[in-house]
Order: sequence, then C-alpha cells, then structure tokens
Amino acid sequence: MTPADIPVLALDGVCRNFGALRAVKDVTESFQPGELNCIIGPNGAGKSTLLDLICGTLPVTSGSIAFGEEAIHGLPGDRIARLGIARKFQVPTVFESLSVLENLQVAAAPAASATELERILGTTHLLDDREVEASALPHGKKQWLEIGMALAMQPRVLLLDEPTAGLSVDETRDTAQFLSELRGSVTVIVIEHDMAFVRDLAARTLVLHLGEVIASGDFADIETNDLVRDVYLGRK
Amino acid sequence: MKAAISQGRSATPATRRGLRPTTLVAIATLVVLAALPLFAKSYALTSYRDVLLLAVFALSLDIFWGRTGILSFGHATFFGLGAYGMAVVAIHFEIDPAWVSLAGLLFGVGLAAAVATLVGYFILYGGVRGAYFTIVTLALTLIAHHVAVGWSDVTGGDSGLIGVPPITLFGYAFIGSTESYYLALAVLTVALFGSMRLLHGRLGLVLAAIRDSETKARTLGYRTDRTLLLTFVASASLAALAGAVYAAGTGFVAPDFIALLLSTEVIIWVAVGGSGTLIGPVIGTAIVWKLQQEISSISIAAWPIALGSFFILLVLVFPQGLPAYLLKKVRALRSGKGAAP
Repeated sequence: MTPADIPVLALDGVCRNFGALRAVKDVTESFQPGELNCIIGPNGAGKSTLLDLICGTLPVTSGSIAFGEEAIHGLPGDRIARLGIARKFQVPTVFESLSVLENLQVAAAPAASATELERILGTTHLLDDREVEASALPHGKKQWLEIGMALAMQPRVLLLDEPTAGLSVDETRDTAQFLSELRGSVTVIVIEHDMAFVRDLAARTLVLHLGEVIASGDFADIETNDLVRDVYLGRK
Repeated sequence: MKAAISQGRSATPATRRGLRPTTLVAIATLVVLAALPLFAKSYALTSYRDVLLLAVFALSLDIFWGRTGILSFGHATFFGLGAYGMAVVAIHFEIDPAWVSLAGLLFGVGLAAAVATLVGYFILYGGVRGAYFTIVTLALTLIAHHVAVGWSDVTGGDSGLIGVPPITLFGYAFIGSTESYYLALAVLTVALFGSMRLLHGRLGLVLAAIRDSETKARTLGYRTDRTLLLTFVASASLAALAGAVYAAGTGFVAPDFIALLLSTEVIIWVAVGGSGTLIGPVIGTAIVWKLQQEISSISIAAWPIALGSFFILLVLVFPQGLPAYLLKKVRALRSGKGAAP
C-alpha cells in the first residue's frame, strides 16, 4: 500500500463527555497518510477514549471525524474497520479459545494466502506458537498476536494502544523497529507511556492533558516544551 | 513419564478443535443407528424415531448455544411452531394429500424462521446478550405456550390437535415404523453433517471469535449482529423442522410441544452430551431419554426431581456441560500426578 491509497484521517472539534466529565475536549488534528504518530499524556488524559472515538467503539458527543471524503463518526465499528482502520486495545484482546493461527485467520480476509499469514507470524515472532491456544500465551505474546491480527487486516490506519506494556526491553526495541518499518505504508497512531520508546520512534507526537491537545510536533521539541514538562514529563 | 505427559500436552492444540474425533464419533453413531431397525421391534422403533427427532432438536440448540455461548431458553417455541404449523396446515386446510406434508413443513419452518427473525432482530441488534437473552427467550416460550392453549379454534387448546398425517413426499408415504425411522435418521444425518461442514469452516471460527470477544470481532470488521441473527434463525428453523416431522410421526400436537419443560429438557440434553460438539447433544438426548425411562419406571414423580436437581448442578457446578467438566477433572488429575516427583 502506498500513501496515495490512504486518505487523510482528520478530526475536527471532537468532544466526548461521560456525564459531567469531559474526557476529550475539542480535538482538531489531522493524520497524514503513512505518517507515524505518538500520543502521550498522563493517565486519564483521554488517550484511549480518543482511539475509541476514531474506531467507533464510542460515539462522539460533538465534532466530526473524516477519513478522506467520508465522515466516519457515527458509523458502526465494524463499518469503520472495513474501511481499513484497525485497532489494538490497551488490554490485549485476542480470541482466547482459538489458536494463534486461527486468530490471524479470523482477522484476515477470507482470501488471505497462507504465505501472507506465515509472513505475519514471522514479523510477530509467533512462528513456533501457531498451534497454541491464545489463552495459553504469555502477556507479551498476546500483545504481539493482537498486533499481528491488526496487520492481517491489511489496514490503512493502525491504532495501537500501549503496544509495549508488559514487554521486555528487547521486545520493546523490536516493536519500535517494526513500527518504523511501517512508516510510509500505513498511518499509525500509537499511545505510549514508555518515553524511551517514543524517543526511539522519533515520530510526530501529540500530548494530551485533561482531554485537550496541549502540544504537538517532533518529539525532540515536545521534550523541551515547558508546559509538557510541567504536566507530564517532569523536570530533570 | 514427565516427557510423555508434556508430549501429550503439546499434542493437544493440534487436535484441540476436535474435528476428527467428533466426526468419527458422528459417523460411528449414525452407522449404529442405521443398523438399529434390524434388531429392534416395531413398537420400540417408533420411540427411537421420536428420540432421533428430539436429537435433531438438541442439535439445533447446540448450533446456537454451543457456538455463540448465548443460551436460548426459547427453543421449544420453535420446535412447537414447527409442530403446530404442520398440524394446522394438515387439519384446517384441505390440501391435496400428496402435497400436504410439504406445505406443512414449509409453513411450520417458515413460521418459526419468521418469529426468530422478528424477535432475534430486536434483541440481538438491540445488544441483548448473556442472561438477558436467556430471560427474553424464556418469556417467548411462555407467550407461545399461552397462545397454544388459549387460541383453541386453531390450536385445539389444551387437548391439541389429533390426526396429523404421516409425512408424504413426492407420492411416497412414510407410514410404517421402519420407513418413518429412516426418514428421521435421514433428517438427523443431513442436519448433523450440514452443520458440521458449516461450523468446522470459517463460520465456526467467526462464531467462536464472537463468543470470545464480540467487541474485538466487531473492530475486525465483522457484522456480529447479523452473524448472530442468521445463526439464531438457522437454529430455530432446524428446531421447527424437527418439530414438524415429530408431529407427523406421532400424529398429534399438544401444548407440551411448546412448553417451558421442553425448553429446559433440550438444554439438559445438550449439556449432558457436551455443548459445542454437535454430535454430543445427539448422544446426550439418547442418554437422558433412556435415564428418563428407567427412573420413571421406578416412580413417575422421581423424574422431574432428577431433572431439576441436574439443572441446578448444571448451573452451579458444570456450566460448560458434563463432558467438558469430566475432561477438566481428568486433566487436573493427570497433571496433578505429573507434578508429583
């Protein structure tokens, strides 16, 4: 897939309230085709909620989300998924009673070739575990499996909620490596807490605080931003 | 010793879906059933025929409950609609005897499919799952039962309708006990292999995925509401087919065919045989039927007590069904031994 096949994902004045709590406030951002983006911010900043709004798990309270020409807010989640927007949840969500390979088969199109699935098993270091029931996988491998499932959908936009949570240092480095490889072919939005990981990615970074985007730009610039250091990164 | 056990473990995932074993058991069971008329008396054969059709009914519940994990307490409604549909067409309308069976089958199955679509659409697309689905479908059975008893002009009320003719297809009447037995066996065979073929393929995989996490399945692009509704309607239609052929076999319908007790019994047949295995419920039906004969011959009152007790155990002790429970116990015993030095 080349960036030309991927529409721009644009959020305009997106808000989401839970009762009196304003979880996401007036977020206006656009994500360019094939671009790698990170979202950082303290707990409760509204990061996961923002992904929920994009992939249709939650409806927006107000504002609009467009994927190219098409307005996608208000569409059911399965419809949004079929447009090519894939999601990895914060808590690894795989089909526990199915084997690793079956999980990928469910995620992939019915016409997906065996070699394609084989390639994804390789990318996600799961070649030896293909017959293992997903419930028996250790946490790290579940994370990888869910990323593999997202890849099997051949997505145009990949939303990853804390892909490195619970991973070892080596696995985290592998994740950064393979996300970098996706650059240019898939629009990726990653939520992360691991600052070393975000620094490695050197991606465009958004900082969310109390539901608002308080800064965005290169991570190097973000790191030296006074406001961001006050609310999130802390001062050295 | 240890190596042997761990090897046995690692072999589990490959056969874990249990395609081959259940298919083999299914073939073996059907071969035995096909040979049964050679040894059974004509009277016993009509009882066996009824058991086969009840087994189709149990299979229909397993297609939905066993695969989606959502328990329907309303399956007697669909069995009953099939039976009543058949009886009403045969008794209240003057249709050419050569075609009346086909008309009755179509009407009964069509009626059940329509009710399942209507009810299923509102509750499944409305997001009703789990225990709430069970409760709504339980209410459905109660309503259907009241209609069957109350609308006596059409349904014959408490006494039901007598005089449903045997199935006649393309000029051939399945009148004798052997003929009707083989008809029931044919229905069971087609239903069993048809559902195995479908559910061992991609559809089965998708249903298992929905059972594990419907939200995740939806974010993968599956229209889970629609998949569940289609499965529910297919399951209800098969239940109705079993009911229609059953009514033609016994020659009558009664409100028992559309009652809560039957909805409960079919759940137990599936649970005894192992839900999700397709062939299990068929065997479970036969086992429970045999038990019922034995226990009722001691005391008529003993059976409902046994049934109720089993149901409580089912909910509290082995919600996954009897075979899964026993398998788990055996595995725990084996791994317990393996851990000991």
